[in-house]
Amino acid sequence: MNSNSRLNRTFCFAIAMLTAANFVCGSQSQLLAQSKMMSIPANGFVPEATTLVAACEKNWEDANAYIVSLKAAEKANQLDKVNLKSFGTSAASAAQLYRDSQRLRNFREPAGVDYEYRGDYCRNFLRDAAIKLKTAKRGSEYIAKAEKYKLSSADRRKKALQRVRKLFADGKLDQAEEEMEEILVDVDGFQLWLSPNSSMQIQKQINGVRALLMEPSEKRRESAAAAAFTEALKINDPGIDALLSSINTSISEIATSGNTTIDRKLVTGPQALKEFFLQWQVCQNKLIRCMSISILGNRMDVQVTPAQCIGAQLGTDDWAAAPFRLNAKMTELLPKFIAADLRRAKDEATAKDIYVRYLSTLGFMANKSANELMAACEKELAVLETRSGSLAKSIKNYKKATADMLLWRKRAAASAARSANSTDLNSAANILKDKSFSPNLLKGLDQIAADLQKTVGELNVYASNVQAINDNAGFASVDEQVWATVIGQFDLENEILELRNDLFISPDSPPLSPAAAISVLTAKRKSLTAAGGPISSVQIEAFGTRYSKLPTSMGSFVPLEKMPQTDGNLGKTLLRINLNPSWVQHEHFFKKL
Amino acid sequence: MDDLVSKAKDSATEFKEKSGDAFGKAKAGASDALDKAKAGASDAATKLKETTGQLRDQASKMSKIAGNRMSINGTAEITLDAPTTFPASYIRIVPLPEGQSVVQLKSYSGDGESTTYPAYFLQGVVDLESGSLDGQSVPCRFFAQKTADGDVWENVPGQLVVVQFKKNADKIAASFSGAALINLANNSQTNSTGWFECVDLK
Repeated sequence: MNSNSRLNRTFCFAIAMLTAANFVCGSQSQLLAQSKMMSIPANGFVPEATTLVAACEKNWEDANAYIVSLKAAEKANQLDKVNLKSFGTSAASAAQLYRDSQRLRNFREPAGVDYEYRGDYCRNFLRDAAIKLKTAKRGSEYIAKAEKYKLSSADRRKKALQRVRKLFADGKLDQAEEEMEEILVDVDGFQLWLSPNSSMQIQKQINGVRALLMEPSEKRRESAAAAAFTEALKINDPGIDALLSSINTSISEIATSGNTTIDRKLVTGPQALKEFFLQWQVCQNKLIRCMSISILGNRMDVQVTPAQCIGAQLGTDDWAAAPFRLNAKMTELLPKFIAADLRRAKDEATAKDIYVRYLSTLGFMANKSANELMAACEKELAVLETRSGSLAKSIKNYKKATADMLLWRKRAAASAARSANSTDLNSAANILKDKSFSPNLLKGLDQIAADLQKTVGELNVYASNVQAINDNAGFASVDEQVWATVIGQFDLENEILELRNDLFISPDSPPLSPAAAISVLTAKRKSLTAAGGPISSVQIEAFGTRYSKLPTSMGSFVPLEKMPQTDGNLGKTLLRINLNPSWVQHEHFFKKL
Repeated sequence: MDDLVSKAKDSATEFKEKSGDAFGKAKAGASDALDKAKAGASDAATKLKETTGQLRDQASKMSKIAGNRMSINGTAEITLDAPTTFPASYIRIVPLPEGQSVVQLKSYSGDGESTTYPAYFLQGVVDLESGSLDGQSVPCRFFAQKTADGDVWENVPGQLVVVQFKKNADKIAASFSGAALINLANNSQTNSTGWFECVDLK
């Protein structure tokens, strides 16, 4: 179905959308804007879906604007002054909105769930409104017009239906559906004015052809979706087996020569560790996407299985188990780089150099979910302290000189954060979560938007374990149903300078303990223990959209603590909370912004 | 309880004064030994021994009077929201690569993770190559906490706590006054005084 059929609609009654818009008062347009903000985007694995979502959004705006004007008129007891011209076109918009929502569901697009509720709402409302409008001041005029048009267009309609039958018989399903859609839009434009009997006559005329197309069209869309999911799974292949093999090969090469080749580039052990950590992030991101796409394609003819995505080495085909096993493998393998390198570093100068470089890599990798990996790496590095010589002594002394400072800074930061008196995000989310959208969407997002924003009100919250995405934003995962974005620029230069002073770090003196290196480097990349402040806005997102297209920048949560779970309901939601921080807490300092 | 505390305080002052005297005596004794190297050496040594023995007796007496407050693990008192006595007081010197040293004062001997409360920690950088800690004033970072997960006091940012050290027989005495501290839980500032009788932490 191409976009033309959505733009070139032939209406019997001329529309002046502006007329309807004139009845829309200020606060209502705000709500319209808000509901647009709350719309679910298309995944667009099948490109047609993107066009359909755009059409749904427009049809919704048209139909809802008219409904809003009807409500206002009724409230003001001025139903007689309502623009009746637009009734037909709004009814046509509502009906097409509903039909397109079903098409989106065929494509397994979560947006279809929302638009179905909205389309249903609009159709029902206008159907009920028709009864009142027929008895309005100029209602009888429009009834007469409609009946007249029904007769005058009968012939044209008959020929159009025959054309559709022929297209279908010739196997041109797409075109048949397009032309059927044009007939339906035309009929919808006047049908509600007709008497029940009169309306039934038209229905009889078109239903036969319509029924002919129904199932084949559905099947066509589902096939297209299955093919698109298959393609998407191939493109998003996590490549776990290949990654694990590369790591094993590199470890051997480091053990032999102290260097290894990755992507045709010769690198050192610390560089290799960092590179594979990054590859792990990408791999895990793809794993999450595959999980989501695969589940969208449940019971469809998708040609790539979970086992194929996960690979052989993890020994599972279960989405929930895969990240756990991947984490375990990585925690087992990655520290071996350190072990291999340290075994080769016999003299003190080399050992110190490689030690400092690995500390830098640890600082790059560290985050709250990586405790086991960090501990395993630190265990390997601790070997240096068992050697005789000045390096062991330097490391021990450095730890003595800095361990207490870090402990007390941690206590100080925690004390200051407690005084900020913010609610944790999980508790806040429980206040916000409503059965009508959590865990699954049960109403149109337009019905939920206003109340949700109201509930947000003055809530002052904090998100834990915040990772920076870029200079202006960070994100934090709360659980699989709630996540937060932390928006705003803030600078930690002074705090980092003070921290470096306390830890005796200068350009000539690098940190000599994992704890110190991790402290400074997490501060530099704004990996925070917590960030708090007022909620600026909330959004309801679709699980199937957020995770099917998870951006790589959100792959920083490695290792993944838990694979997001879904029972496969297309309407499953996530609550996204946007907060503007008024304070941030690093493990070793606190800052009011 | 207050009685014991004030008694302990008095004893401490008395002890300080007596120690000072004993130290002076020991010094004099040492000089004598140098001057009369051959004859007076053993005499002076015996005197020194006696004085040290007196000090130890006094220490254990004080310890019993104060109910272990003036224990062999040292003691300290710092004014936070109120004068707070700490269960122990240790001092540790850690060498830094460039020749300077870190001096640490703390109320615990382990890694501090499972410390007893109230607890404190001070740390400053000092040059010990030109002489000992005795008589030096060292600007220090300061932290203290009365209970686990309770309010934390820290030196006001940019204002280090200047601690004066004085050797005191087998202990190090340290003190500070007029130090600006901030309670991080409620942002209130306070002017603080503190004194320490520290034992060496190896």
